[in-house]
This record gives sequence, C-alpha cells and structure tokens, in this order.
Amino acid sequence: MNKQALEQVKEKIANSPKKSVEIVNEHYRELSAVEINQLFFSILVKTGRENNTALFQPLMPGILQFLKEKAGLQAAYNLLLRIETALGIRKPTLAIYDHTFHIIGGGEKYGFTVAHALQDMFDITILANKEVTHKNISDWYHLDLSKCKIKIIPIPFFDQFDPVNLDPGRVTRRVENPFHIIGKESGSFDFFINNGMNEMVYPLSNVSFIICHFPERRPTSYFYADNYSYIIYNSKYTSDWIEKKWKFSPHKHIYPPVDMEPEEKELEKENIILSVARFETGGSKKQVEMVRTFRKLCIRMPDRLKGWKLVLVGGSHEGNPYLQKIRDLLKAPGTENIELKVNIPGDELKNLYKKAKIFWHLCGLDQADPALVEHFGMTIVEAMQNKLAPIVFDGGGQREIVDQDKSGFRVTTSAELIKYTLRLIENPGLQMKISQNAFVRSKRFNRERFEREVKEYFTGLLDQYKGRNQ
Amino acid sequence: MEKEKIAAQIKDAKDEIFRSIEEKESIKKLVKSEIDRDFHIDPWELSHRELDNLMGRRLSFLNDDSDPTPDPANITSHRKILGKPIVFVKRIIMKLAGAYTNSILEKQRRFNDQLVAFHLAAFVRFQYNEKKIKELEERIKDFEDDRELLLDELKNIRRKID
Repeated sequence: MNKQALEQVKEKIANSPKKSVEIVNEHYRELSAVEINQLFFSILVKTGRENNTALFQPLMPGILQFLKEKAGLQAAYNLLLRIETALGIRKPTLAIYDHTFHIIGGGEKYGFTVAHALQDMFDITILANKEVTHKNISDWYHLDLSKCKIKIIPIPFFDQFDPVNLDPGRVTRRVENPFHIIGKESGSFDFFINNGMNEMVYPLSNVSFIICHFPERRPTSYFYADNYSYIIYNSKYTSDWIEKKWKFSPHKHIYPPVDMEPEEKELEKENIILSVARFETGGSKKQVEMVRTFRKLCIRMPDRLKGWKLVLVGGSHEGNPYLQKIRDLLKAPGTENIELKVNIPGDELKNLYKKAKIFWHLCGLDQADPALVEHFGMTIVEAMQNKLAPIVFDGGGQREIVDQDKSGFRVTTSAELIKYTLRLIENPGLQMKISQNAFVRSKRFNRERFEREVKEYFTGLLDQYKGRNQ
Repeated sequence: MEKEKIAAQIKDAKDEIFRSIEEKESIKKLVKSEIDRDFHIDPWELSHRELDNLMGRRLSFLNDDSDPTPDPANITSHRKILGKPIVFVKRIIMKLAGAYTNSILEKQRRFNDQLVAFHLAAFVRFQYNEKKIKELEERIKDFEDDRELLLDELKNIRRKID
C-alpha cells in the first residue's frame, strides 16, 4: 500500500480503535503482511502502554482471531511475543542455531561471539543438533556464555550417513526436510539467528537473521534464505557471491572476530615461515604446494634459505588422506627444514605465532571453485596480530585483509610466492616494516570491534522491534 | 494492576495458541501459505564442483527412476469406506492392461538402463580426463617455478659479477 493510503488507514484506526479489525479487513487486499502486523501492533501497544484495559481486553481476541484465520497461528503468536517485549513484560528472547556448533571452527566462533556480545541484551538459547557444553565453548573459544541456555535438538535423519558432520547437501526434495524441526523451534523466540548458512531452515520468529559465511548452495530444494529478515555477511567476497548465487543483496557486513593478540610479552623472532590452516581432505588449503615450493627453494638456493624453516600447523581428523600425502612428501630429500604439527594445543600455536616472521596462506591458489577460496581468512589476521609479514593468495576475503606492498603481499602463483618470500628473507628492514603495518591493519578485525558492531546493530533493531518510536 | 491484567491476558492467549501450534505438524499450515518453490538451475553458472555434484545427483535420480513399470502398491485411496473396493478394481484393471503394456514398458526399462549405464561411463571417462588435465597443469606450474628460481639466481649472479 502506498504511504499516503497507509497513513489514512492508521488515522482511521486511531479514531476508532475498537473497529481496527473491520478497518484492516476493508483494506486487506492492499495491505502487506508486515503492514497488517504493524497496524495491529501499534494499536495494541498504545492501549497497553496507556494501561487501557477497557479497550485492550476486548480488542486483542478479535485481532488474534483475524490473524489466525488470515495469516495462520504463527502470525498471531508472533504478535503476542512482540507486544510482551514492547510492554516490558519480559526480556526479549533470541535463539542462535548452527548445525555444526559441536565442531570447532571459525564460523562457529562467529556465532558464539555474537551470543557473547548479546547475552545481556537478550535471553539467549543456543540451539545445536549434537552435544555441546558451556565448558566446550569456554575451552575452544575462551568465551563465557554462562548466561545463555543450551538446547540440543537431534535430527535423526543424518545418523544413516555421517553422524558427526550433518551435511545439508544430503537433503533433496525426495525426502521430508529434516530441518523443519528447527524452523518450528525458531517460532518460540523474538529473534532467531541461523549461523550455519543453512538456508533449509524456515524462520518463523518475528525477526530472523541468517549469518552467511559463504553461500555454499544455490537456490534449490528447501531454499528459504530470502525468508529471513536480515542477512549478515562476513566479507565483501561473500556478499558478491550472495548476489551472484542467491540473486539478492545481503544487509549487514560484520567482519569475523579474531583474538590472537599476544597477552604476555613478545618473544624474539626466529627464521620461521608459518602456515596455519586445517588439513582439508580435498587439499583446498594448499599445504602440498607450500611443501613443494619450500623444498624447491631449499634445493635450488640452499645458501639463501640457510637457517629458515617452514612450519605447517593445522587440525585434522584421523586417517586424513591429504595429511598422509604431505607426510609422504616430507620423506623426500630437501624437506629436512619442514615441520608438520597436527592438532597442537593452543599455547603451542600461540608461541609459534610469536616466534615466526613470515606467514604463508595459499587457500584459493589454482582454484576454479569460489566456495573453496578463503571467504575471509581468520588465521591471516591472527598472524598479523602477532607481527608476521603475510604472503597470501590474491583472492577471496584475503584481498580485504592484506593491502598489497603495505601490510603484506598477495600472490597468484607459486612463482610469485617464491619472489616475495626471497624479498622478505633478504631484506630485514622491509620485513619489519610490513610486519608493523600488518599489526596495525589487524586491529580492524579484533573481537572488541566485532562485539561493538554487533551490539550497535542489534540495539537499533531491538528498539525498532519494541516500537520505541511509536 | 492494569499492567498485570494485560500481561495475564497475553499469557493466556499465548498458551492457547502455543498448544495449537504444537498440534500442527507442518510449517506450511502454521503460516497458511506454500513455502516451497521450484528453482531453475542454469548449468553455465555452476562451478566444476557444483557441476560434478549435479551430474552425480541427476545420475542417481535417473537410476532410481529407470524402471517405468507401475507398482500396484502405489494405488491407494483416501476414501474411508469406498477406498478398498476402488483400489481393488484399479488393481484388477492394472493387471488386465499389463498384458498389453508390460512388453512396451520392459523395452523402455532396458533402454533406460542402457542410457544410465552410458551416462555413468561418460561421467567416469570425463573424470579421468579432468585428472589428466590437472596433472599436466601441475607440471606446467613446476616449470614456471623453476624459471622464476633460475631468473632470480641469474640476477643474483649478475649482481655479484657487477
């Protein structure tokens, strides 16, 4: 409905609030669902705030009946949730869901840090499909989420496949959508955040968010991303691909939280080139290419590489064929100065960050699939927070982190990697300058900044939800 | 006092609606509208990995649907009293018609099986070729790295001579 006509409807309701339902019914075809909800919300909140029970009591059942008949039970329930919050009857509620909350990862850290930032503002429930505890969250991410509740909702459909990794790709139109159980749950909350970029969850809450770390799937069976009120994205790279794949624009950009700044005093730097990345089965993090390049450097230029070593750090599951391939490569001569460190404790990783001088990250190299290019690159920022000079692949979210020739180098081939590595090794002054710039640049991505941006964003939306300007 | 009355009224209404929500099984019923849509996929927009997945999935669907012979178990009726005789009659008709249709459907089934087998073989062959191309690309990269190293070393030697 156009603005002027809507104002006229509002005026009519304000003049005869008892006839709200009849007035809305008269204009039902021209009004959108959002406009209808807003009209009913406004009149009920106004009478509620004035403590006008004489009007509120007879008015509410009629409105609810109208909504139940026209828009369904959920619309009526949502209106009540919103009025309760607006009248200050209870604290607003928020649920945050991720089908991979039980697995350690950057995306999961993003979601938990959102919960951490908002736990005073909302009554938060963490929704997971597999067991995860407050202690796990504290151990994995150093986040105290004791004010949040955790609710586990199992989805037995996935037990027939891999019971640990719930893969939404298994769900086709030939089976019932197993994520509807989460969609139904979302309707019990004022705000619902879907952190797992799982667009098969249909949101029923009043205000809903999908945090997209990358649009893995294109619109196909059970695609509901466009039913969410807001899409939050982690990098401009992700935003571009949301537009290309989902054909609509996301709403809010918040870079992920990175908190690897050294707490104690810095250690003396050693001649270490460091790589920190998961050993992905498909090899998308390109550790094999790093081994080959470093080996080549050591064999062809032993004098120039003297005293330098490459340390590959990352997490892996048992029996990972890609990790085995690296282990096999490391048996060859010329790889004596390459160290492999798998699943090491956090303290050991922190020490390596403190000691290393150069950071390599090649995720995206020779990659035709945009999903396998780094969507952001949290470990690059971790390295920069520890004053390492980064040399990274020129693509994906890495372009947003590293400014070429200023806070690091971006490369597109292993030949370029060789060129910039030698330049840094042989020019300590340049290396110091790049490291310092990288450290300054890394502040743009720390946790403090993340939580501040999240709080500001949600405070504005919550005010709007409560109808503070009504 | 008035505020409490309003709060109590909201709570009662919420409880009542919540009970009804729990009884309704589908989201479609809760929002009183169709929630699922069909999407068109343009293969030209897909990445290699997405194309591989699409081909694999479609092959699996083709395989599942290759037999066109109707299954009598699929004949059902929603009618409570009349349902059983209707199903019975339909199954009889299916059996009678089977004498004429079975040979055609059997031919179609064999054709479908051959087609699925052919597509699968083409898919496997395609995968082999992809692997070969990747290996060649790796070798080219290797040569490029060597060239970079040699050029750099050459520069180094020149610097020393100068």
